[in-house]
Amino acid sequence: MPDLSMVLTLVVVALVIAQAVLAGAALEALLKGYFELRRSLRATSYDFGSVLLKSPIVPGVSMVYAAPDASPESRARVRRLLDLHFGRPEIVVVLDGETEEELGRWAQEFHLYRQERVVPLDLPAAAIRGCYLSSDPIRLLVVDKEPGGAADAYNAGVNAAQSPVIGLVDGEAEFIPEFLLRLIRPMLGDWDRTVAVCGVAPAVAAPGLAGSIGAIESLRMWLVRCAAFSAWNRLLPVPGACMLVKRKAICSVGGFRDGTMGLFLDLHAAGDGKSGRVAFVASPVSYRPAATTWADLHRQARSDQRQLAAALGKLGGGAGREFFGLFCFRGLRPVLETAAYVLAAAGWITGLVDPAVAALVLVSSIGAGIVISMAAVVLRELAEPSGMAPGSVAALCLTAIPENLGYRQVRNLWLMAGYFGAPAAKKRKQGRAVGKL
Amino acid sequence: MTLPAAPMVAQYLLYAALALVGVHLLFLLLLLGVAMLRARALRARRAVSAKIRPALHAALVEFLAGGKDDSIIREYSRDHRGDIADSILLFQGTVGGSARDRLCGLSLELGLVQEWCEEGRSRDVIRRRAALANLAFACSYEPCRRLAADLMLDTLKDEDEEVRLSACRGVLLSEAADQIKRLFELALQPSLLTRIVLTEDLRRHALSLAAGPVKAALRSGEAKRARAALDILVAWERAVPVDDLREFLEHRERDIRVLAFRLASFVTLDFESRLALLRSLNDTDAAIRGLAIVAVGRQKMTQAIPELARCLRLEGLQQARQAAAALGDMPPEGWRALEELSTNPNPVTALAAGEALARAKREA
Repeated sequence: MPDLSMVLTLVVVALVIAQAVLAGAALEALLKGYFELRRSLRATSYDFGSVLLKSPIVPGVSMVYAAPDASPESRARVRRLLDLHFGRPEIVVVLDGETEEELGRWAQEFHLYRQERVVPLDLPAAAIRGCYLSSDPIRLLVVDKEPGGAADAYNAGVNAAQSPVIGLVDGEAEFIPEFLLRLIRPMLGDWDRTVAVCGVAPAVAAPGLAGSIGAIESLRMWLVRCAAFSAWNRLLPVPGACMLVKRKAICSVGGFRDGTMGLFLDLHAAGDGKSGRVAFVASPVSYRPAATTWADLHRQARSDQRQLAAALGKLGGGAGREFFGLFCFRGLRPVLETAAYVLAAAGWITGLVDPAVAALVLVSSIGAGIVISMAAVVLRELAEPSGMAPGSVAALCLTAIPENLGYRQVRNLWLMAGYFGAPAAKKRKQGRAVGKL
Repeated sequence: MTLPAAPMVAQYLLYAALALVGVHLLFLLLLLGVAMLRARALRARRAVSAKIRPALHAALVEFLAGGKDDSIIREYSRDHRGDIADSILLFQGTVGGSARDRLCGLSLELGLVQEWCEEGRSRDVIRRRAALANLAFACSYEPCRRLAADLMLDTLKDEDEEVRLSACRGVLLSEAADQIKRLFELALQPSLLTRIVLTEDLRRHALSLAAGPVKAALRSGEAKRARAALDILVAWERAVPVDDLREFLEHRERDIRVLAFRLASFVTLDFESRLALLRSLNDTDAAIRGLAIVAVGRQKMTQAIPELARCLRLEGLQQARQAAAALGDMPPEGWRALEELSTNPNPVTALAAGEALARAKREA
């Protein structure tokens, strides 16, 4: 028994140390993100929008949208893309193996007619069945292709696109019509070095505890996975983001292998840091609508974990050393923390682990979690005031306490299920489901 | 095997961890207090602005319409100078001529221009940027220009690109030939943003620039400078004289060729350049052939009709349509060719020719 007690204590202490290291790294990333946000928000003013709108020197952008179906929502999204404010936007809608009836619905909505055109095969993609243009005065190209999955649909869209810059919008993103004008700015400032731009803002908190917790999660993601990763030139798209990527860069990495996150991982792997800058636009160009219910929080956590698992690999080996930290936070941390809770509780109940050691688990997880969440709220307000009332800021900050007492532990289970329960890449590519990238 | 000191060590570690978390929380609460104070101040400022802005706008509209009563503006100018400046600048895209001069004159009278000049020397880049943007607008009025001239020239070398761009726009309003030349040189630099903004402002000097600096950039032998100059010429979309475009129509770099072909659509071409255009109708690059077809059509080069007819017979639908459109622009010979080709056994040729002929006749 003393041996078992010793082993258990050592394991729990090791888990506590691992959690403390991760918490320290998270706090450092938050601070890095804060300084980067301050720098980024001061770097541009967006005063030249009207000039960019008119100038023919501004490179054209092709917005590629892989429509999941022919539902009214999908068609409404295309309408929103057609309303973008930009000089020469081209909207390329890819229909991934849709039926005649679904194609008919698209044709009826946008007055499509078939046009014979040769689509270059720069990227591997399933065969194109036909290209359609609109007889209305809109720059819309609809590509109807054989089923091949989401990545295949995006590759076909890039093949058909005629502009040097490809625009992409996350499936969950709500965006402003001017987002192209804002995202193109970093590219224009440093055209040779910038291969991609990613823009997103945190969601406004929805009412209720779930809404506030969703807002804190969104803030943490914005500060760390957007701002801090941008400072390290390791920016990856997050849910709700809008992106611009140079067509040449997409072709140079062989196109999409698995969603936009996979594409950005490949871009980072191909670039040497100097010639492959991925810029971040922190202004409110787009956002993922805030979670309003516990079910929303669950769905958002699961979908984000699935994308990460697909891009990083189940064991974190899919993205190289640069993103091992991200794998540790999203893949390993929930496992370590849950194991620490279970072992500490079991050890404490059976008397094998000293109560002080068991309490250390709580301090290193819950205590550190409260500090990190509160820091996210405070640092965001200091970097860029959100415009919230002082009382709301305080309430949001104090939500960090209930967030870490109960919700955090349940979320760990969601994160584990989302990450390790994600379907394998090959399985996902089958069929015609064009999911949210 | 147990360590007797372990429980004590664990207890000390627990106290240390609690203390660390506590210190962090205290510090964060302090920062939260600061953030809340800032949030309150910001909201109060916004509330006051929202209250006075409508009256201020109405007074400015009245003033711009020729009204003499500027008492409301002067009253607010004492305590709400930021709001006055913002309201004045809201009109910068909508007023011109004498109304703009009145607005700039008002800014000068209220001492706003002097303030902007001071803020233009601030170390805070955001204040400097805002000040220079305001001055770039005010410099259309000569007395303001005189006041801000030195600052504008100094800030042409500012470390911030937006400050530099605003300074350039202000300097361009001085119409000084040497400055215009200098700013054209700046537009040739690699930053696309600078080129885009300055190209727009340099457009009204297109003719004078085409005679000297543009020619020099095109003849510099540097591909980057030539590409930038062509970029600017294409963006101007003006029929400025360009000597010997042939060199660029047959350039080894594709980007430069593309720009030259786009330019060839609206500038006067010499004999050599026209020959180069004709030769390009047989280029191996399909995109270049397409651009050449469009340029030949815009130049209405009737000697290219046989070549265009050949393109219409042999090219794919996209370029066949372009060739047909070019023929449609050259009545009556082009139309005759289209009539013949509309009965061609090749369905692509017949379709493109038929469409173009119908459209040309409809528009005639």
